[in-house]
Amino acid sequence: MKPTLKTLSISAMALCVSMAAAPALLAQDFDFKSLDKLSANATSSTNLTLSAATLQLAAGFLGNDNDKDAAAIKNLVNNLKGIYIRAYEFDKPNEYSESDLAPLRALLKPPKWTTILDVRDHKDWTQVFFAEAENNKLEGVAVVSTEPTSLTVVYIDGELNRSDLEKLSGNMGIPDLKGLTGGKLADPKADNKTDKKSGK
Amino acid sequence: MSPDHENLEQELRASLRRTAAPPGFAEKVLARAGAPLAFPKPVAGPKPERLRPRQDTILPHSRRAFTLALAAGIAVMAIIPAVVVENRRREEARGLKAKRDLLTALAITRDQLQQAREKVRRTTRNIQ
Repeated sequence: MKPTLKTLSISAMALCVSMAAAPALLAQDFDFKSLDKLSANATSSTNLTLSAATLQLAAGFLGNDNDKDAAAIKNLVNNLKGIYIRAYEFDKPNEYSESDLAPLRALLKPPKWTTILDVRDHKDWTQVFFAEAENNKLEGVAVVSTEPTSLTVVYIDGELNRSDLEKLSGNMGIPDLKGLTGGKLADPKADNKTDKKSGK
Repeated sequence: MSPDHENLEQELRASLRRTAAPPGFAEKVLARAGAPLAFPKPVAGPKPERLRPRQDTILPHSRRAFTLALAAGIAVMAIIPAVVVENRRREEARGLKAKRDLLTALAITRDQLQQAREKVRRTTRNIQ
């Protein structure tokens, strides 16, 4: 069939649309919808979605540039496109299944993702994934940690140095989670976190 | 009866004697009764002071526009700072929430990385 002007223009438009949508799709590799339903049975859940704009806004409130830790965090989040956290705690096992994580794990595959760490200890399973960039930097980090009564997914999207990640796994002046959330995983004051035990 | 009394009596009788009305008297009375009441005409001249509008309450058009603009300006000047303060307050609240969320996210990430490191250490120790 000979391509007509109409079919050619439609193809060109489709190509343009797909090229424009490509970065957006890349940034949304993770479909957290499959996990969000787990909060219904969780005793405590943390649901954080921080876009690039939110990260920049937060960085502006971190403190002045003389503060070494604040400067380090600002430097860390400077090139990030987003941070996504999903953490759930359950009062008994079997409140979630591996099939809930299957869509997520299916995305964390080569060539984009490399499994850096894969530790199974009894019923605990922790995996750390890196998305390598060409300039020896990372363009994404993911942590999936499952225990019988808890599940945590961390996804950092955007360019970050390995040294920054090393610093992050140290302390970097970030307050303890207990200090941030009053001793609980979920911060009852925050809108996007709930704690069912406290009824808030 | 004294002569003075007699004179008085005669005078009274003469005064009270019935006499016929002059000709045309009845017509004159009827005509007077049917006519509208006649009041004295008002004197033409300047109006009384209280009925005339006061000159100082009438503003010329340009002065009225200026007064309205001034009032609007004062109202806007009063509203703008409140709006600015409210926006700043909201922006600050949004920023503080974003900061808290960021620190929470980084703390969870750090804890997960530290736990992973600890698990590796523990597993390695068990193998040895």
